[in-house]
Amino acid sequence: MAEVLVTRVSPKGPRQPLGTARAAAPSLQRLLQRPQQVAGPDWLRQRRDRFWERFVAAPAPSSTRDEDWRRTDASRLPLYELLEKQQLRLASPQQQARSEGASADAAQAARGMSDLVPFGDDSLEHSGTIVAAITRQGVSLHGSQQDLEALEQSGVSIVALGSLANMDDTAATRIRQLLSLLEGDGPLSAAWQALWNGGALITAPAGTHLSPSLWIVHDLSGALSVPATLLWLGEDSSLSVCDQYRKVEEGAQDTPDSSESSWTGDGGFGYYTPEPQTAIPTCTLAATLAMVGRGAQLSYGTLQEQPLTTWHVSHTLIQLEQEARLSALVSRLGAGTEKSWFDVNLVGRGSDAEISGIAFASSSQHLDHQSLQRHLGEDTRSRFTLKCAVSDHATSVYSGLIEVLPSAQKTDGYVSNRNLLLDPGAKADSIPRLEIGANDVRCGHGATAGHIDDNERFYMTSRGIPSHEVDRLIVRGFFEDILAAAPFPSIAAVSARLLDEKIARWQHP
Amino acid sequence: MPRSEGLTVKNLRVTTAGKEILSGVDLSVPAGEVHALMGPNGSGKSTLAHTLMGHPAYTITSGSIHFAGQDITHLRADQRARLGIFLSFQYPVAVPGVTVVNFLRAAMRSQGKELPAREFMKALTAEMEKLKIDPAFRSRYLNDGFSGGEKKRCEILQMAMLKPRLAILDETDSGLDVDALRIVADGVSQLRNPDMGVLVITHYYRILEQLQPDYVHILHAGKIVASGEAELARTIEKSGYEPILGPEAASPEALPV
Ligand SMILES: Nc1ncnc2c1ncn2[C@@H]1O[C@H](COP(=O)(O)OP(=O)(O)OP(=O)(O)O)[C@@H](O)[C@H]1O
Ligand SMILES: [Mg+2]
Repeated sequence: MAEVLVTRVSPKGPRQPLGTARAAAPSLQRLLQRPQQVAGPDWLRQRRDRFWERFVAAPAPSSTRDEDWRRTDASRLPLYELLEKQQLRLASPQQQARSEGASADAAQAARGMSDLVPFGDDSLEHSGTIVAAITRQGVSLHGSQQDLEALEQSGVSIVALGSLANMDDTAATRIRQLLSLLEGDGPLSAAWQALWNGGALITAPAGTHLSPSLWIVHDLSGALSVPATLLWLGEDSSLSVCDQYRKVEEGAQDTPDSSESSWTGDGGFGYYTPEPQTAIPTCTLAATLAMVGRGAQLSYGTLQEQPLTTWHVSHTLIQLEQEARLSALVSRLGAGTEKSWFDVNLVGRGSDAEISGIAFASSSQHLDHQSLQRHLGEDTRSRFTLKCAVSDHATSVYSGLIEVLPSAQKTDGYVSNRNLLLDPGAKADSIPRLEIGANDVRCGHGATAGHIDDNERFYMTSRGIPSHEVDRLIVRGFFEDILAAAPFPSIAAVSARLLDEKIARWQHP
Repeated sequence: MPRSEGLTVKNLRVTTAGKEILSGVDLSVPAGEVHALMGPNGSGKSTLAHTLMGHPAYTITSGSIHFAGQDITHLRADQRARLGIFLSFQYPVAVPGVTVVNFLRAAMRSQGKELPAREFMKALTAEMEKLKIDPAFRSRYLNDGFSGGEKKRCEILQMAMLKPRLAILDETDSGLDVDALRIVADGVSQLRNPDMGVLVITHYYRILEQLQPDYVHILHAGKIVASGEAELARTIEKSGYEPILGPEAASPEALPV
């Protein structure tokens, strides 16, 4: 284990031009410790080193200086504090103790994992879903016999990104290509590149189709979790994938059929503090990177239901080749603070992206979503719709940009954000923007914020429905069109269930 | 003294937005009877309907409302609905994201009239057939994008499913074509029973011809100024409000067409 001490500068105070930030006064220097490192091939180690250097050299995000962070207080991002003081390592003391005894069985882990996905009345068997539990030992899959056979016959492969040592060359090439999608100059993408640890590479070779959806449950039990989902879809393939981000308390999730075998920690690849501590919020830095080949179709879901003590930072970047299609549902219900970027690059002619999101911010949550529809190819189409309900003293921030490059004639793009404000203290900020560089395009944006309409409420109560039930129906109804158009059924079912739980918590705190 | 059955309104004064709209309304609709309420535009008919239903925007400054032997003057709308009061809205409100089926199930559940899923669907299908509503409307969002006539029919559908003890129909006949009017009138007639009172607010004689009201009341400037038998509605149909209210009261747009 090599812990490298690196000096970094964290400019604070008055706005400074980016170039001079590094020359700030030495008194502002912070010491960041590189956490215990993940094993892997040389090329990856070197890559991580490079990005770590870049990360420590870059100024930390600043709410006064960075447009992206203007409405979210970057100074409270726990990432730097965790890296400064905490000597992060790859396993918690409990996990270490456990691995000295019998190591948890991966199949048990999968069973525990599948219990976490609330498929509800549709048990996993009938959900048309395969849960992929990513463990240190590899991937273990859980689903109906029929679905598992379909997966085997399809040619689709799932590689756990924990076992990088024995990776074959094709996988290495794809991982490299996919990682290169997120090489922007932000400090957090550099941090992710340096630290990502755990997750899966899913590959659909050209022409393959898989009808059951693949459900990746990310156990984010570490103090700092940096999960990766890498998706590679060959020409004319099709795939449905869902990322579910949640935290499982240490030891809290014993499987019903085996009380001593807990999967916790084996499913998660976070970084842990030597001693459990609660002074600093936990932090997740997640990324999903996808390349969707010519004529291929990706149906994608992402569900964030982290505890309020967590900061959730995520990057999603999906690149579409010619005639490729993306249909996605983003569901954001948890975390104390969320800062997420969802970018789609419509590179190939005729590619199409349809992205819908639901978010519900309650109590003192602060959810900040940013999206980019980047049109590079001709004749491309994109839709991004985010609906947010905001209650109590929570805040929703949304900024969405459609960028049309000169090469992207005949672009058809729309970005919209609808907010439902449920309490006087709830706030929603919404900044949809267009940057059009071509002259033959059709693009638009819309943003609204409203309250529950008194007449609507009276109409419903006049049929005998009590007011809390009316509110529930209206909030649920607000999201209904998005759930009804979800890219695949299990994501709609699970999102609806999580949403119902969230509404219940809002109504009965 | 309030009767133990039906609706009794006494000396009801109501203000909204700081303005008095109803200035002492007295009205009784006993169970089993059909009463019509007519009156020029803006005379306060919908205000009365909303107040009877318990709309929070209308403040009762004096007077009382009794229903089924209870003082309901201060009850909330959902409580009144659970006692069996139903308002068919002049302007039904769209509820995006809530389907007709889910809404009706929620309403019936909250009124203690829940049916097992199969029975419910059977009853709903039968009522929709009677009202000639396309079965596809079951899964449409309530009133969302409905035409004027479709909304009115959907109000009657809700009434048929909820089987109220007092139905207040606020211009349910307006905006209906001749066939739809007959369908709606038939719907109301079929539901009629000795325990149910009906208050029909209308500008037109046609629906009254079919519903045969026991009494007709004329509301003017927030007061009931005349009550009589069905004959009264015919007079208004023929000669307008002028013979009853005097020349200055009958504005041209108030006259039935
Ligand atoms: N919520 C409100 N705020 C302000 N004014 C109101 C409100 N509701 C009713 N009014 C006023 O009260 C008066 C009576 O309105 P109401 O809707 O009860 O009339 P109506 O008899 O139903 O008329 P119509 O035949 O046109 O339906 C009108 O002058 C109207 O503008
Ligand atoms: Mg009216």
